[in-house]
Amino acid sequence: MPDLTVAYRSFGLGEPRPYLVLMVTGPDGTKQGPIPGLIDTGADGTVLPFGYAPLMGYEPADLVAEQATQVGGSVTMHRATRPGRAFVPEIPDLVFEITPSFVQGARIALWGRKDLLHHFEMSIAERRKEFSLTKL
Amino acid sequence: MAAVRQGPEVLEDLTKYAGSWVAIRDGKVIASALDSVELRNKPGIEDTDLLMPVPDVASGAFVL
Repeated sequence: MPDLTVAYRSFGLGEPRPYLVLMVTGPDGTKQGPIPGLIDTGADGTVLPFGYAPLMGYEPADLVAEQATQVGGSVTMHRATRPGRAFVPEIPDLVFEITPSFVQGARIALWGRKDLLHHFEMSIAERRKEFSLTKL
Repeated sequence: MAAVRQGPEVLEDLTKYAGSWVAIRDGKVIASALDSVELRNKPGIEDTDLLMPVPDVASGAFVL
């Protein structure tokens, strides 16, 4: 039985989609806040709009520029060299590290495989417009 | 297990905030700004508020 089943929601952006809100803490452990993101099996890891970097307390020295591939071509992303932490608010006993990559111009947070999905088995029920997470 | 919604749905159409950052509390936009730090530093913004950027074209299909 899954630990959490979440209904799709729209966040005021059109049709309902598989958004998951994570409570995210920056590398120094003091800056915490909720971030809504889409579950994305196509993303290798956590990808965040660049504006979240200062909110999480990342300094330029904490980030290294790398080239990455996205659906529209190549993109420069800034990978954190110090991990943050995250947890699903409804499952607070499982706190896991995330190593986000920040992308200028990105407007959607993506919860990719190496962070969130390394700790949860996930299934999507598109017809019911919901997804489920089970702790590993 | 019944599906949960993880907090109230945002019923407001966010397309009017396209390209900006918004702060959401109890499903409602309580503030907006052009960038994340400006938004966080606005009076009344709390750590529990959900801060998010709104896509430039917020009403179209997502191809990520």
